[in-house]
Amino acid sequence: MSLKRTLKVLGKDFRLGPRSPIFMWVLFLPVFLTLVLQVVFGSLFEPEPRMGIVDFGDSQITAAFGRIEGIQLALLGDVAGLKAKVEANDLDAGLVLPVGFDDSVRAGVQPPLELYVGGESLASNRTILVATTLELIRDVEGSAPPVEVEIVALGKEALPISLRLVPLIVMYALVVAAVFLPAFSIADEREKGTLAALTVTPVRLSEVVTAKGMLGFVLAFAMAVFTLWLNSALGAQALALVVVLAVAAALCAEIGLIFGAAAKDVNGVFALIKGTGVLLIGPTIFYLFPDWPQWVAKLFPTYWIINPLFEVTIDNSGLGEVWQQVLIAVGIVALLAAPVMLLTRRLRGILAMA
Amino acid sequence: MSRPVSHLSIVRSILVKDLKEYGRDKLWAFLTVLVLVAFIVMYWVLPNSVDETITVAISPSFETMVETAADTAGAEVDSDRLDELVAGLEQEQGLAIVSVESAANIEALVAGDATAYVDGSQTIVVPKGARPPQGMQKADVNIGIVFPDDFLAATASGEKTTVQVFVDATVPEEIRVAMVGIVGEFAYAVAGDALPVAVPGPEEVYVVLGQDRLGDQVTPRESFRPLLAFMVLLMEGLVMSALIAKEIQQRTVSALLVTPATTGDVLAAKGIAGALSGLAQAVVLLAATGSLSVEPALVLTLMLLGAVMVSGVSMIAGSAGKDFIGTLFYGMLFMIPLLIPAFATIFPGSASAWVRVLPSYPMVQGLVNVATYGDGWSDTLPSLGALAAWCAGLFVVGWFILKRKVETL
Repeated sequence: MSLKRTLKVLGKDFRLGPRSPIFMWVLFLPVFLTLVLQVVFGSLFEPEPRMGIVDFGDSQITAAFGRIEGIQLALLGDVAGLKAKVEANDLDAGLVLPVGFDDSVRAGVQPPLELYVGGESLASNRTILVATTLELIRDVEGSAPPVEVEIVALGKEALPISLRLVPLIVMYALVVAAVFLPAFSIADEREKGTLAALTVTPVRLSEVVTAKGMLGFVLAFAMAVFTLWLNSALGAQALALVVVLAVAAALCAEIGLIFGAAAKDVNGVFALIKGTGVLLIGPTIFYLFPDWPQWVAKLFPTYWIINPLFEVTIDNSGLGEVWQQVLIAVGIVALLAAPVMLLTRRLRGILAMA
Repeated sequence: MSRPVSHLSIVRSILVKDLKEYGRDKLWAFLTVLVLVAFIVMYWVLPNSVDETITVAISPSFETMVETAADTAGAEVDSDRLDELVAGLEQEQGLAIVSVESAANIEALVAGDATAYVDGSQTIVVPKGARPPQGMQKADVNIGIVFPDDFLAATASGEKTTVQVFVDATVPEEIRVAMVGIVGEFAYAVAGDALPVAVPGPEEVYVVLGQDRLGDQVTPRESFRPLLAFMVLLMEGLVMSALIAKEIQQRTVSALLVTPATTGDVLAAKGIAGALSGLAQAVVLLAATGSLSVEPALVLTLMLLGAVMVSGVSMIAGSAGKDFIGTLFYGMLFMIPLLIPAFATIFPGSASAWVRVLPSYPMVQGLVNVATYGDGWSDTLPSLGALAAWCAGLFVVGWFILKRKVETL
């Protein structure tokens, strides 16, 4: 195998590759997924109680609600609009504060409480919003509470959902760049006959396959770094990050080569990806649901690349802490080399007979 | 010399050829079944209930506190009123109160070093790793309140006490604030301080708007059903567009046109093949998830219209792509916006105005209203009308674009 020829094929792929829509996928998907998962779906996993307020009198309750983390506050201009939103379950509850509400509470007049709750709001959200509303009204009243409440927090604070989504987004970036790209590229060239044409040149098939793998590796590495940066999750362990990402990109690139060499056409690659996608992405779902039995994630081969990546970027672990996991991932890379070589040899035979 | 062949039999022949070609790829067929099974399994794995309550462990029990208050010498305690207040707090919607023996138990439960098992009013606290008791239900406690033994007596007589609220570090800020409010309001009530506001009724602080679904919330399983069904349609839409692109690329479609088949016959066959393959899988999914038990004819009509709409989009994507990858790319560009309304159903509340104008919205919303809220034909007519209009529009556009593509080959 000649490194010079391999690099030449790689150069050609880098030059001509951007004409293919798959390159657009590689560049576009991490940005798209970051936007969709972080902005749109972040709220799906940790829904917050939603309170709407129509405040006609600049009440201190409105300002206090705005300061409470974890309650989504919407300020509305009219009562009918507020009631419509509460009824449509766009808000869990709605509070109307008339002019002089605070003064009436302070004066002990007991103004009427106009609080609406949506029929589809959860009981827990109702409890939170009602209890908080009464607590804030008591604050306005200014009377000394008959009890001192002391909050004692125990245990380790949970990671926010934005960080728990990072493995999923990075894994997609790795899979699209290192699995989709080499696999589709090989199958496409095979289908169009350019792979067979190469066999009559000095370039060997193993060099072409290696070049495709390198293409996936380089782009996967770059896109993973870009995705981590996009999610503000690069961490502080640069060396560990480089090592872990290199192993991750290599493992994914090998899977891409296996798919590309095994499938008879691009439809076949799509079928393989459609069928095995769950296995590739599977472990990342466990970060979203910490209550699930976490040992199950270890059964997926990609766990051994995504977990060290998670520990290095999110927990700021160094190589000393993740070396065992990285070693297992390197072992998987070594094991996968065998099917890559066998399938490349098989593909060479098929092309020779074509 | 041969006798003339009807358009119907030509369309049927092309359709059979397409479906055979589809089924000939064993790997593809196997993986299609695998994905369908995975979707069905995913549906059944999703929770079929909504946990609406916050479970709170308290120590000592209210019973003990009331007894202590009654026994406290010199304390002016109205036991009946205290019983009433305690019952009110215990029946608070959204709160599940578990009484445990000691403050140490509370700390162990909240720290995750022990688990509480409940059977009626009996609670057993089991240390981590120990065998759970038979026939008792596990209670997920991450908040615990430790009252002083004389809390009721002291508070009733105007003496200020300190209550400790233990929370797991994962408990969000809004629940902590609410806990302070709940304990505070309970203490105000015990001390005999009325609310500083007038409430709608003696037991009502708020007014419920719309149908009260307390205890009967839409479950994650129900929320995901339209998404899964629509994803099956879209997946098949992508496959259909790939098959169309392949025929264009390999010019087999041109070869067909030198036979008695017209462009219209070929397009009709493609459209039907796309709609049928998607619809068949969606029906299997809906049947396997028990979604055809309510208004099956209405659900199937919605799915049929959805399948035809996706088939129209497949024709557009199939004409646009130069090869499989290109088709997949264009297919995704068209399909992702169509998927948004299905995702929107997972979230509470009504969809934004821009989501409601997307072609797939009437299908998804119709499916939600029928399967989850039990709507019938008359309630669903507006959705059906809008969907039929989108369906016809997209199918005609798809037909026109693909026809032009085929005729210019």
